Amino acid sequence: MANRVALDTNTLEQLLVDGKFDVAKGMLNDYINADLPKEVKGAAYVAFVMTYVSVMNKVYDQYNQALDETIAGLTLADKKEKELTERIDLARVKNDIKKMQ
Amino acid sequence: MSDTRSMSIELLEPEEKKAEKPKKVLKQKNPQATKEGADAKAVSNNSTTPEPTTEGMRAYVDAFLEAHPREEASSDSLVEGGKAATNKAGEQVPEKALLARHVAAGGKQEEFTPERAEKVKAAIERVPELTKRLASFLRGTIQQGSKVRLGSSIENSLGEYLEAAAVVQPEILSTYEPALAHLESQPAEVAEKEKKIDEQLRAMPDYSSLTQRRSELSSEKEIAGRTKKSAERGVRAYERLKGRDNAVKRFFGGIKDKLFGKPAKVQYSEREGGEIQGKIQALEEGLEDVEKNIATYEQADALKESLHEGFNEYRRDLFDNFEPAQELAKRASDKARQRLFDLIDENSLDGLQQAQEYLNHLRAQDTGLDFLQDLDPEKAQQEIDYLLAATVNTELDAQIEKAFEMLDFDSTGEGVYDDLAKAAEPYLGLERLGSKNAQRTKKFFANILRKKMEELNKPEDEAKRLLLKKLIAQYGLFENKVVFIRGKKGEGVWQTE
Repeated sequence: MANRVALDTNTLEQLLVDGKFDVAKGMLNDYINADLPKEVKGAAYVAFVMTYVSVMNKVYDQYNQALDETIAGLTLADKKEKELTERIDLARVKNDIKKMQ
Repeated sequence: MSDTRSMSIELLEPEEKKAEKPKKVLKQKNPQATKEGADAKAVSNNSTTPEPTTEGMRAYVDAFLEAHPREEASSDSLVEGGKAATNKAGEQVPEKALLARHVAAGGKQEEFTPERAEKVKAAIERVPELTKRLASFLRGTIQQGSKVRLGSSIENSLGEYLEAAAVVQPEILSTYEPALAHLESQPAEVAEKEKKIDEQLRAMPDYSSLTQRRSELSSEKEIAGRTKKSAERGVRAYERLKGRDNAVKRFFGGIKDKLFGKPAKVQYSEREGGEIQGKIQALEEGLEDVEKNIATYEQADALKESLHEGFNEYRRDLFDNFEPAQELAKRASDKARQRLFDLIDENSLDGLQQAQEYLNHLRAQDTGLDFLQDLDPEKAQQEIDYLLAATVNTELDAQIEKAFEMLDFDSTGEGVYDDLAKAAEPYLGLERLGSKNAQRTKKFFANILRKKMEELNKPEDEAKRLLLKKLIAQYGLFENKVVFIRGKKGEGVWQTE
């Protein structure tokens, strides 16, 4: 008799988030090791690759955002410091001229 | 998580699996499946191209598996004619054949418009390249990382699936490549940005004190050592930083939720978010107050110096926020990999050999994220060596025991030995095992067989002993007396002393 095993990708993702790795592992390995038609195995491979890609992209994207904001902050600091330093020099010259008048 | 769509696959019991070759068709789940599949596909056809996320992928898989339980049209049986696309095997697939597949997948003939046909053909043309790309990613990043045994037919499986997917939902194929390319570009992009930040920080007069902090952090990491502790430290860093900067909080919030399993209670507020920006504003306002009083060079220089110190304080704040963000990104990345790869069984020789390769790969890795940060290479090596030794010992022993049992049915023992030699080849044929060099690997195998031989001390065990002796002779495993005679260019032979 055929044994019906369903791979529910929502459940799989939820199990990962909940930290129930043993259950998730069981599900995934049943699926990968099963004697399935090639195209279904292909679907499983693509699903796994794209899950991995999606998670890693998320990690990188968030880290990239932190890097971008740090770079933007440092760039702003350089720009503003230059701007204000020039203002100080300009103010000194202005005050000098004022005194001479 | 209200979405309850799922992939439903029928698996056969093991005995049936052995008896029946895999079929190229999925069994129909229920009488409604074809209709539902067609509906799902029709919906997906009308929607915009899905994002390259698990959600988008799931939508496809659902539609595909729902719509696909029918007799599949083989390209051999398709009528020639119309315009042709080239399939994964490089064969011409005429439009009629595509239409037949479309109908076989549960689609209606009238839905297969010329525009649709063009999309499908374009998707099919993309299959060979995408197959190569995905297979390469599976064999590289996934196989090495997960230690999973993927077998030699990945390309066939991927090709079958992608070609079927091209007919059912051609749009999905165009989402894979950008997602993969994005990930592959990330290490270099991150490394470049880290370098840029480092260069800017290096320009600061108190850079040395910042790097001192960095090295203190590193020694703290060495003490903490284990991933779990590091993750906990990452969470503590998050707690400390609460209320400091929105960018960092957003970063921690997103990652922490997903990977550390605790809900991030991040409270945003304009005041907190503006804390660092506010420092620049305060410097500007302060300057307005004193601007009119700057009369001498000395005053101007003193003010510039004070301004510079003010900006450095701002830079230090940025650095303070960046450091833990970097720290947590490493943790998150490591954790994500670990959790994904832990899903796959590693209890096999291939898997363990791949674990060794993965460790080598990690050691050689030079990217923006140092994945080896938490891993003690020596300890990891010991663990791999132990697991390899245990696995080889167990599996080899099982093969030998199986051969011994077969001796009862084969009085000559010839057939049994051939089977045993074949079964033992994947183990005894290994030149290296984990960190063991060739000589130590040979000794290891010799010891296993010697111990096995010592158990066979009864007269009726003669046939079994003979079996082992043949194996020992074939692989030159003469207990510990085997030596390696090295010749020119490092090659050599095994000889007994």
